[in-house]
Amino acid sequence: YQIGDKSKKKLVPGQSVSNKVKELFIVCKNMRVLSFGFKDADKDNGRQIANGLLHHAYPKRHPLLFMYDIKEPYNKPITKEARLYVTAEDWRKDLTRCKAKKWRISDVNKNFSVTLHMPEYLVVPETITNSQISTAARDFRNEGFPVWVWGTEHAALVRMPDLLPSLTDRVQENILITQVHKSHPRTQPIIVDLSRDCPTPKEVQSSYSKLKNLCTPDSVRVYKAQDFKFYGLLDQSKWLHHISMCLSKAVECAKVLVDDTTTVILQEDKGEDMNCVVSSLIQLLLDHHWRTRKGFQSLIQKEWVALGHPFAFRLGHILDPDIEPSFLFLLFLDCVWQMLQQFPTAFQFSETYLTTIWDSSHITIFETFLFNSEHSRFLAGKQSTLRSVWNWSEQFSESDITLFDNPLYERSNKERLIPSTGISCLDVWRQCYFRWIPDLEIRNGGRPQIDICNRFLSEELELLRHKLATSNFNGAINKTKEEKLQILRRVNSFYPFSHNCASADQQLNNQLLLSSDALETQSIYNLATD
Amino acid sequence: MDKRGSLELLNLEGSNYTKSSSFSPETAETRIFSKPENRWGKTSPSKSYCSSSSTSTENVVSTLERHKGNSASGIEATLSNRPDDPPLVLGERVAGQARDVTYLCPYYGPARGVLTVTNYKLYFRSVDKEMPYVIDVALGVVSRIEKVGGQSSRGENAYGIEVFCKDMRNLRFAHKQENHSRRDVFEKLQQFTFPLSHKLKLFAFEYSENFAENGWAIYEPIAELKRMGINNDMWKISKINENHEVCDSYPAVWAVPAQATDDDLRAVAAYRSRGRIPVLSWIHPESQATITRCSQPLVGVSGKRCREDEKYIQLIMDANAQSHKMFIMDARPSANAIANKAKGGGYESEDAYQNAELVFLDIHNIHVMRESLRKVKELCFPTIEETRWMSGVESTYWLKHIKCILAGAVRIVDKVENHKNSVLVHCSDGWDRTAQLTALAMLMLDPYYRTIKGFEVLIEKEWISFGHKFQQRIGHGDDHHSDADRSPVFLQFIDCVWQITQQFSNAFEFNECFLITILDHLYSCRFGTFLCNSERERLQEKLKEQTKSLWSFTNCQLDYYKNPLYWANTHQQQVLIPVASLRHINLWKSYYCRWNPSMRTQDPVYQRTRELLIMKEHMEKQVEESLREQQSRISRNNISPA
Repeated sequence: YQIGDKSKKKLVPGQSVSNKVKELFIVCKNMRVLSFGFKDADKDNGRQIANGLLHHAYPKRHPLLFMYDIKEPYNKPITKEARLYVTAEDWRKDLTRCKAKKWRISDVNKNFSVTLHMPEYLVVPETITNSQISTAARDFRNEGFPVWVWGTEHAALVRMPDLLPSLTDRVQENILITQVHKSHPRTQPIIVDLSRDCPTPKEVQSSYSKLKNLCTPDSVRVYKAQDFKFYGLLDQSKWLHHISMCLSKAVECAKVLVDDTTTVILQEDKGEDMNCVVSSLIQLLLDHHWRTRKGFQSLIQKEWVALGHPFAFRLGHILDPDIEPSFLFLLFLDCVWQMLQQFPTAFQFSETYLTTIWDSSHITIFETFLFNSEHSRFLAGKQSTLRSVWNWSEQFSESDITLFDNPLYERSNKERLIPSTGISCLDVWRQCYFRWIPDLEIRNGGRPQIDICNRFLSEELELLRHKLATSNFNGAINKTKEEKLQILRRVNSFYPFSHNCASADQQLNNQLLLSSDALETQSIYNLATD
Repeated sequence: MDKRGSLELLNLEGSNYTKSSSFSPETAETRIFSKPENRWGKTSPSKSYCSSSSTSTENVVSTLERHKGNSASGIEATLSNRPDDPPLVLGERVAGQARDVTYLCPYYGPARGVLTVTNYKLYFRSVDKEMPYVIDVALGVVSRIEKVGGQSSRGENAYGIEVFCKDMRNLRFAHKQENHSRRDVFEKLQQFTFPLSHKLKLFAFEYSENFAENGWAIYEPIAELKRMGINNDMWKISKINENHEVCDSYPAVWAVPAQATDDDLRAVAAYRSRGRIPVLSWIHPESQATITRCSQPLVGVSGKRCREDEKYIQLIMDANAQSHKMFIMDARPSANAIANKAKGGGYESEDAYQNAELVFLDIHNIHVMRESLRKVKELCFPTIEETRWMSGVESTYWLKHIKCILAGAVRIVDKVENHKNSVLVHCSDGWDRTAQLTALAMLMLDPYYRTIKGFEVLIEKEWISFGHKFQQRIGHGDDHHSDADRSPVFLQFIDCVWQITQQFSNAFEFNECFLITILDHLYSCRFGTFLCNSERERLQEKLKEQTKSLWSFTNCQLDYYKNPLYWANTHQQQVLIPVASLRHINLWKSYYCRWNPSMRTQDPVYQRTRELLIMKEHMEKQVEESLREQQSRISRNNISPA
């Protein structure tokens, strides 16, 4: 885990640590708080540890990250858990699935010759030539250009960066937009300026740090004082305001795309921050395909990883005074969580899954959220083994992974989602933000109880289905009510991140594993519809 | 129009699947009035959402009633000939009607229609044939009626009536200016909304529906005490107050320490405000730690003491062998408790009560709560201003009060459950905050009270029998809308219960709809349950004979109120300890903001679970059938070769 720490005075990397470290208070990016006392330790230990932490938590260069140090052999094939969008094939599948006809796959960026910020294969208007693209790209920030990311028969969702700020004429931009228009000539495409309509990375980050303060009280006194003014403080953090803005922007664009069958072009500075957030949200709203677990992983690969969200900078993997960390990815996951709250049957995955993705994004063993672009991943891949985060079995046992499934998921729910985006309709993602505060855990309560009840239910349903299918009616029920109660008694509101009964967890998961069979059959159905 | 409603309802009844899948009555209502794509109540809010009746269930139920009356006994009176007439419950009659009235809906704009006043409700139906607006409000819900504009008022819709409701909404109607068109309706409204101010009886005394269940029988004080194991060695049932002479606001049956004599009890009563002495609310089945309740001691400025009271408290402590310490929880902020000394009240000094520890729970009085709720209404009705929502919630202080009450109850539970201490709870008079605390603590401690019937018993016992002044706090049928005795104490209790159900979604047999139904009929005056201030008054008014109990109504249709996630086992003690932190407490939007059509009307989690449960039921039946078939086939095969 990467760590930001302070003790009485905040420790800044590069600064010498005094040799009288009495206590170390560590605040993690995932809102976990750790505090260590050095009263009984050797005199110098505190300083050593603090220095070690500072050194490893804030590496100055990318190659100092832990990923490059792991020597453990790894020979998992390229993951099948998600489409990676590094090959033309992945894009082709999408084009076919979306019935987008007037678009083609271009290899203009082969060998990253046009831009280092995008993958080698991209989807562009059918009528445009590769040379037109390379010429135009010079006028855009990050040498980018408009690319297709999703669409219907009648309209497309397109992402692009701004023109270089030094330019005054928009000739090249206009040429490209005309080509986009040609692919769906019925209506003029609408350009949505996200740098104007959505919070900036800086705003998001300042909001995050206020939220973090609210979630990491360093004493009971602070906790109580915060609790007293909780709604006011939450309001001041603006976190929910930002979520509301992103969601409403996505809802608005989705409406244009589908109701007005008009192409939407998302435009933003470098096209790699808010574009990722809004573009993926729009697709989740409109296309049930992305709401399965594999679909969601593919969506993240496409919109965030392949199209170059600068994870190394934004997640603060490396320390550099010039970069601006901003947890836009967390903002996105939170938006998805809000949708999951409003449409609990529409997603194949659970909130635990979302929380785990966030946790995993800081583990520098996995490559998925480590690089700024496909290009840097490509370079690193030459000298080091890459481990995809989507191979969940690297991190978790099978029984843990079953907790990623949402027992309420309804395969047939293919509706377009229209969430309420007002702040009054949003909530705090308690599991993710509060789980390290033991006082806030509801014993035998909270959402996991609902989750588990529904797991039991789907288990029973599966059994009945099986009986009917095989005409064998003599099978016994697999858990008695008593056994189920026993399980429920052990589950608290932050499960599986609970601290109040950690010892029982593994056993508990194994018991739940049985009940997950039913869910798995569901997911098989989903693969079939892919 | 009406026919269409009942026809669809018939279909609803006919098909098992649809009926049970329409989990909350709201759904049923939606199905009656709106197009099917509104399944989530989200995609395109239809006009009909505005038409929510005063009770979520009422529309459906009244339609059911009509349907019943129609087909079974053929009572024509209940089925009106004119389409504008409202559906009536038994005992209800139309008192006045005005045509060409415009309802100024804050969400969809004006709608023209017919406004009808009966002796029970206000009913408005727009003339729009496609999707009529229906407003259906029990008059008991109305707190104030005002005329808007006069004969000379200019502007469209400037002349009319405004109705202010106790359930977080206001309604505005515009009338034509000619011929004093509002006069008759206005007078009738005044008359039947405030019957007590017009020397009339409350509607509950005219309501004549017959229910298959008798809700009045749900609570038997002695049976409930027996359930808790009383009499036992330490506690006895006392009938000293049989004629309500020792304490006129207490019930006739008390459970008191076995060793206390009648003289003791009388002496203690003299020292406690309004004679409300400490009596038993709940006893722990294993440890025998108890929750007792009372009013403040009459200490006064001179610091008066009472030997008998001190001895009596000692008896309560001694009745619990597990502990030699006892807690007295004073619900008030300490400053208020001290201030009460000037009025002859006060609190127990720890010198006088050895081994007792006094704790102040810092819960504010009824006036503070009334003001806080007023701000909640401002925030929630008619529309929500999104950008200022959170600071708005903060500034009402409502959630802070909720938190204080929950935290107080959690403290009581902690003492009783974890430390096996007995706890005595009081505030000033012991009928507002005390009832909130004891009832919540009991709900957390005892799974019985989390069943539907158990919850009804809890309300009957801790609130109704122990003299929460419903008449005064709600002001049934009385036009003094600014009366300082009114306060949302009971609403606040239900809100706390809702907060607990949010934290423990599978521990309660009932759902949110049950809580909202209770609140709707808290005001409606259709049932006798929440009328009067004390058991004594209820006897005098012969409520049990002359009115129906709300529980008769609810217990006839339990399916509506069942929580599909309920997973408790009442035989095993399981204590709920909610987290009383604002980080977990939310504003109960589905109650306070429910008139806003953009509100999600039902919880999709419940909906989905319910669907799954129904699926399970179906499949279980199928399995059974196939099994039977298989068996009969086998037996046939066995016979045929023979």
